[in-house]
Amino acid sequence: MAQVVILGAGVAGHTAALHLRRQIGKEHKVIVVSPNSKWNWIPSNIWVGVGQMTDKQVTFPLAPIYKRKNIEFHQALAFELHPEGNSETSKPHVKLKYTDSTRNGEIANLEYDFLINATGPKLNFGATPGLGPDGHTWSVCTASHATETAQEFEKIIQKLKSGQKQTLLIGMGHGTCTCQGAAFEYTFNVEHEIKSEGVRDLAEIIYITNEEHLGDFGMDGMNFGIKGNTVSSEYFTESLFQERGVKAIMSAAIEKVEPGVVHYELIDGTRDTQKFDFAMLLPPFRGVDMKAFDQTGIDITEKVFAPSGFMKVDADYSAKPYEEWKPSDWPKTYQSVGYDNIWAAGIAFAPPHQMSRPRTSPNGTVIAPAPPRTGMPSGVIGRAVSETIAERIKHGANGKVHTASMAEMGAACIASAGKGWFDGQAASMTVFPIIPDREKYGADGRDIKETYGEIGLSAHWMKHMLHYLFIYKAKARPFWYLIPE
Amino acid sequence: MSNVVTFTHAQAPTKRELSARTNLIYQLWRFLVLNIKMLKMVAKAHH
Repeated sequence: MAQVVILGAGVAGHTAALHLRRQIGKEHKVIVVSPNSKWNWIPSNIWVGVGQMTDKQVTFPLAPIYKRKNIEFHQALAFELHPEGNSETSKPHVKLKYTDSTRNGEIANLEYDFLINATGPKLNFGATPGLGPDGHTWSVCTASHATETAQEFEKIIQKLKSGQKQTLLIGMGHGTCTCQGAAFEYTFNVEHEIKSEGVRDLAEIIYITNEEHLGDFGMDGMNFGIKGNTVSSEYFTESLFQERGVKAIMSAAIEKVEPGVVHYELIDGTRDTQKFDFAMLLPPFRGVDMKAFDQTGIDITEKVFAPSGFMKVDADYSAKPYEEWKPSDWPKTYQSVGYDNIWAAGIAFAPPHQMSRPRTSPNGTVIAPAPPRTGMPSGVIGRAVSETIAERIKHGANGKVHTASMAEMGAACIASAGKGWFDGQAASMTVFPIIPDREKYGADGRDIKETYGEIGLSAHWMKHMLHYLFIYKAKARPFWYLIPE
Repeated sequence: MSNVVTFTHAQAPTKRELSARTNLIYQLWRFLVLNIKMLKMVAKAHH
């Protein structure tokens, strides 16, 4: 009997758990460990953040799903990895701290034969003093954050309705943030709601970003092939900002937040401030706080994890100039460095380098987006890793190794720009491949026929459809597995 | 000088483009096209 432990129940971990359960016999155990009791369809949090959806519409309890699918669930936080066992046992295991009400605070060891680290990101609000719900800004990173943000946004609407001018600041709360797409979506949903309330003229909406130009999205931008023409994502995005009257501060790294004001540095090294009445600023990500130890108890965290806290996998992490970065640097199997029974799926793996051109201010501040870590690749990677493990269980070392390189897959992104069945808008964007390949596709680095952008009501319908589709799939309803990642 | 950019230089969508973005018949057609594009992308990701 094999025991597979999956740390994390987000897109990658949950996808891996459900697929693995289908692929291996009941004599093998699939165990999910997550500190959260609920699954969250994160792309819809932006609608919760403007009061257009509730927490309950974007989350559901995990325990009943796992019980139905014969998957063991531990509501706990993994904080130590012992891939060689310890002085008492040679069996690899993880150390957990339970977070559920019945075992809260209890510490236990959980042994594994195969381990998937799908712990996702730590929301590193602490990187910028004053950032986050415990500071002076709001967030839509979790459903509960988004609910609080909606309540505050409603107060802003009421102030606007009473004739008070308001400044809304939305974007990146640090120079190395990623997830520009989420901030972009929230910006235009806020604009849409304020316009719907008839008070748009009293609101100044400013998008603040670490991107060199709009449309970078942490991917160094892209060129869309639209009706036989090549349109840059910068042109595409600026047009929307112009149309909706949204302003922007670009190439900025927020250094600290005080009540009603952010302090930021620009790429030229100059510093300035921006006042706000309402701010939704995303944090930078880092890996979760997990330590690793060898059998003798020596700390091997630096061997297993990158300085960012994400897990090192089969990528080329050697330092080299931007011009020498290659698609082949990116991982294919997501197998851990040094341990062939550990994988990192989704956001938990350490990217070999950025996708946007690295830039540093004269003061040494890094102002460049980290690589985007979206749901579609996370799901695909989670599935590929589960397939590899199923092969290993069935065929031993001869089992087929499944791959899911981001240099060989595309991504589809539907960025909402306002919710409504008849007046909603969204930008539908596809990109292929995710990692630019300039040797294969020339200066653009991407296949212009498969890289496409369009704004319209139909894209909003699609985003809404995906909301229901992926929640259906995550609930493992009949034929869920026919819905692709 | 303010660091806040207003994008007045950017190309605004034409009236025709704006109308097309909300025209129900045209958008139903685009919905079908987008679904096909997405499915192609998804198929490429699974190999």
